Amino acid sequence: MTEANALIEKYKLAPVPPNVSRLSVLLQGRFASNAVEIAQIIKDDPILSARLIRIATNPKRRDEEPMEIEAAVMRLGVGSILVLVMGELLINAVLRAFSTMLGVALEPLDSEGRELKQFVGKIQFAGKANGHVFLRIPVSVGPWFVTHALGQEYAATAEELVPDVVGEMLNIVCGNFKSNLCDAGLTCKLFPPTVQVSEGFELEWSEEEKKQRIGMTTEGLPFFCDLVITPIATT
Amino acid sequence: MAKILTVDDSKMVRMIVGSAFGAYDCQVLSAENGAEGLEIARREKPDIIFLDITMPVMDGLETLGKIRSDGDLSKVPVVMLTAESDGERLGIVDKLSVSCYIAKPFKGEQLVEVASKVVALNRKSA
Ligand SMILES: [Mg+2]
Repeated sequence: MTEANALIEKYKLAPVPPNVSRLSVLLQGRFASNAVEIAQIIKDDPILSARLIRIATNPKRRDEEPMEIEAAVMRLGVGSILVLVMGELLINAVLRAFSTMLGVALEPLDSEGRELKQFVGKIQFAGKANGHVFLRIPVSVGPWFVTHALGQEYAATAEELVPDVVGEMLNIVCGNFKSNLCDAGLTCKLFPPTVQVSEGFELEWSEEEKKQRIGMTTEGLPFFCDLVITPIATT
Repeated sequence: MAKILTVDDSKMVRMIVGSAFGAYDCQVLSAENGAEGLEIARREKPDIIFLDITMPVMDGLETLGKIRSDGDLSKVPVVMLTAESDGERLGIVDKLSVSCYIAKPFKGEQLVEVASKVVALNRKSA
């Protein structure tokens, strides 16, 4: 047992998710050109496989014959697969944060929610992995968000508490995500969150960066999380 | 009466810690960063400290180091309450001896459960 695993047991922490070891294996350059081997790594996770195929399939042809995992790997390339696995770690962190802190189960939502007036929380991470994570909460959902996190007794003052709750929920999500990246070998640090209100949100990203947009919903309310990341060179 | 100190830059976390112990006969003190936390700890001598890692001014790892090398505070039980739990962080914290490591996201009940092992917590009489 490694030292880290012994400490996870000692402090009764949740085990490191399997996608962390997938990520660390994929970061080894020898996989960079072998679609069959990459597919093998992805295949034993049905959720990851389904998202891979969904992303690789042209949206206009979604009703056609489903694509094979190997073909999807070849179409996307290892760089996009890395971001896909990271996105999966991020989704998991969001699901856990919402379920534990707010007591709600999120479901996928096919929307980007750009047009909404919303609180936009943003955290930068830098090191062996570089990029930003955004958590977006529509302004109209703000009071719901606060009372689920802190209790109904804060309904009257909910409005002024929204930025802090958005910031800390994003902190929790990014802290988990960052720990996963570090454990996979992508040592990096987090910067403090900023929270602003935006109307007509546009993700800032440059040509060479990769992005993942994640829409989620519960009780008919929409939430969004975005990952923008500089491609990682496999060694 | 038990004295509980929460050191976290998030108001939301400080509020959750406060309400978790609301039903008990105890005093919950709070600080927004490690420097403020140390100052309060030296003055108030809390029975237990809940400590975040990522904070401005002074982070939780530096704060924990200072607590452990402070003659008056070195033995006070510290519970890490942080979203960061990678192997490297765990190793650093473990060497500085903590009572417990709670990874955020968390529930208020977890805090009460942990605190009740090191301090006497009595429910407020109605
Ligand atoms: Mg913090």
